[in-house]
Amino acid sequence: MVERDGALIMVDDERMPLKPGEKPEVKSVRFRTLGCYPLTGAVESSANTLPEVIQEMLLTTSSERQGRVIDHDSAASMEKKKQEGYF
Amino acid sequence: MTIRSAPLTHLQRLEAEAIHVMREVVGECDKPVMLYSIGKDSSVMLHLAMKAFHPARPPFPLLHVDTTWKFREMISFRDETARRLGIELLVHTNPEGIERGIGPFTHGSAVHTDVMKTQGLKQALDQYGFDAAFGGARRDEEKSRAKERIFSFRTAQHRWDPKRQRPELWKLYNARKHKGESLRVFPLSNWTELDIWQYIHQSRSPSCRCTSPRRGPWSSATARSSWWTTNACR
Repeated sequence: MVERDGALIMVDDERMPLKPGEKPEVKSVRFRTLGCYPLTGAVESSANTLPEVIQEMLLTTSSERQGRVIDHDSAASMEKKKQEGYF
Repeated sequence: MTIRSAPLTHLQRLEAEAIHVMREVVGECDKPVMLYSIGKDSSVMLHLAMKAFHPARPPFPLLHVDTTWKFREMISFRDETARRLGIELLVHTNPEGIERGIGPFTHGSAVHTDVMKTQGLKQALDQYGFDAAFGGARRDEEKSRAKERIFSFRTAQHRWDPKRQRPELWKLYNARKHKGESLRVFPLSNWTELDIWQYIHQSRSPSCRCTSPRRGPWSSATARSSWWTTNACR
């Protein structure tokens, strides 16, 4: 995993260029949402079972798509994308 | 004599609503498809589709718009799921995007998402002539999704106009389309993220004919979903 622009990104293949100073580390993480790996931030998590995932969800104060880089392009960016035909 | 049935739990109500929506679309539309994006919501949606048409297979294929930048584990899980359930899986990648070498690092996330996801999806819907596409979007995910109807109409160019949406009173859905229009349908609209995980948890309980849980790979949400789906959808 590397931390980039505040998101925890998984280096899933060799196509991801590392920036100077970035050193991938092994971390225990979970993805609350899944998309393209360079655009999907993980959350640190030690949950190993479904009840633990649910427990984490009950206590979290962050939103599910906060790790989605594409949601932060601009204000109302999802609405613009949806108008153009995005899901 | 009155027969009193136990009141439905909130998850059973959500499940019934989603199954009703799916059957309604199959009854009203000519060529539906289910968008399958491999995450937990897609897994639940697919599980509900298996239930909705059991013992038959769901009468529509799955469609994945592959940007070529998904997690590798997602792709193997996708193929394994389609094989295991015996459902036709269509995979579409925007050929123009491949030709232009579009990627998130070289072109930025906005261009990448537009070309590989939005344009790719529109191409695939046009190519196969689907008139309705199920998606696993939920209202609690994001504010523009929050105001979208369960039956969301798109123009012939696939555009959504949030100011021109049909009322959905009670459980009545109007699926009549104007010429060229298509539908995006969201059976999980009223589910929350927590409902999804609780449903996944509950669905693999022994009362649901599901096999006992077993440890699988746990590195991502896909793995968790795959572990569940493997056990729940048999």
